[in-house]
Amino acid sequence: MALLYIGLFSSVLMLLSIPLTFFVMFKKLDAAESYVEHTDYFIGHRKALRFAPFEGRASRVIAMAIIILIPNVLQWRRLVRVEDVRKIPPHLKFWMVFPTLVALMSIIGMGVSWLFLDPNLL
Amino acid sequence: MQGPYAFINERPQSYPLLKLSLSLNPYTQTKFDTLNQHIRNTVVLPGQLVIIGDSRTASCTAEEARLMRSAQNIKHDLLAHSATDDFLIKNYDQLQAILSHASLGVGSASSAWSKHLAQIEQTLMEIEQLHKEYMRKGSVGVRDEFLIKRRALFLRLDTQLSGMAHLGSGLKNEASIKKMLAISSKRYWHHGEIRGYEERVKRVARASQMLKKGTYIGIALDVGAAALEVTEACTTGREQECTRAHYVEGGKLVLGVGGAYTGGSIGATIGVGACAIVFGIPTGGVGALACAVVGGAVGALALGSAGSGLGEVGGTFIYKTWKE
Repeated sequence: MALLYIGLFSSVLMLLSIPLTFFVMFKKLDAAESYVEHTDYFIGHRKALRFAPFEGRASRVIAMAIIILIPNVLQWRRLVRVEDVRKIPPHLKFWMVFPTLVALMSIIGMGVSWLFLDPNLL
Repeated sequence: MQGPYAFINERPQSYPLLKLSLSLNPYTQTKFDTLNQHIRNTVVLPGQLVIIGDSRTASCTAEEARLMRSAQNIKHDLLAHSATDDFLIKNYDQLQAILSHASLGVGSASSAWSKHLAQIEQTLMEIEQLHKEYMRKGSVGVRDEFLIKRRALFLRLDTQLSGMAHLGSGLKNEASIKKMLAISSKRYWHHGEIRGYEERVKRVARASQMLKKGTYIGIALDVGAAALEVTEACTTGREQECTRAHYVEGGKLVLGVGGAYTGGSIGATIGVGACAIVFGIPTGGVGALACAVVGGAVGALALGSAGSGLGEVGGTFIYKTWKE
């Protein structure tokens, strides 16, 4: 039963993350991207996803969150520069990371409950 | 049985055998023949609709006429698409699940691929235009300019078709682009057209259009499947079943579509990121786009399926809680 509640809670969380992501991708994304606009990782995402719905903004929010969360790994592959990422103001970092983490948590919750939930319930 | 109903034939069988297996009474047998004109005295193929009439009346009702039209359309579609084999029927549920869960995410990702194909189409049309202009002018003086322009367009096409990027275009990047496109100035001169060119452009355009509509087809399939389930429950079941169907199918639709969208977005980003980190794919290339499409499709399929499953359980849970 606990898994069912986790699944339902995660599903609601996932649904809530959609309007949150829409707010961030239209109000905050451009400001945050301006700090890393010359990095290969950002340019690659922008070019690859430019024809996706809303110019791939939803995916670019997640890409920005990855840049903020693991800059050292990306710098090791020469895809971003850590000093560029450090210049991003904390409130913008929060807006990039928060909806992504909410979506990721919801995905993990949904995945776990879906995989381990009693098959008779499904 | 009150009112007419229909079922889908599952295996090839002759019409008399099918009729015999239904154990119809003598009164309904004549009506059965009238209603099933589309399969009468033929081998009934898998996927075709078989109509059982309303036993309360000998005349045809409006509902029966509607079923007859549907049966006729299904017969045409099956014959037109050569889909009269067991595969479609046996795997109907799986196919429907894949289509309704993943199509939204696949559509979102593939709309990006459709733009890529549209660019290939644009380059092909520019090459054709260039050839036409050169042939019209025909002077030696413009030859050098023509060759330079064509080399530039070939270079662009070569990049657009490199690696996995030719998928869906129907063009395979071989050693020579001229060979691939079957372009020959001599042939053009004699026949007034680049042989087979129109078909290639049409094929690329068609693939592009189909992919472009992927998202809308996905949403329409999801909404359509939910509406069908609700209608079926409300038509054949009791009031309780109808109310339950609203909750269950509503939950499946909302979480399935939401999950596919979220999964598609996250999957596309992870796809591009993983390819960039692991393989060091040059940024912005078609390789990155392919990674985005694959990642988006996988993410959408996984989370769309999970969302749909949880939506069903959640809908049932809410219905039971509300009833108590």
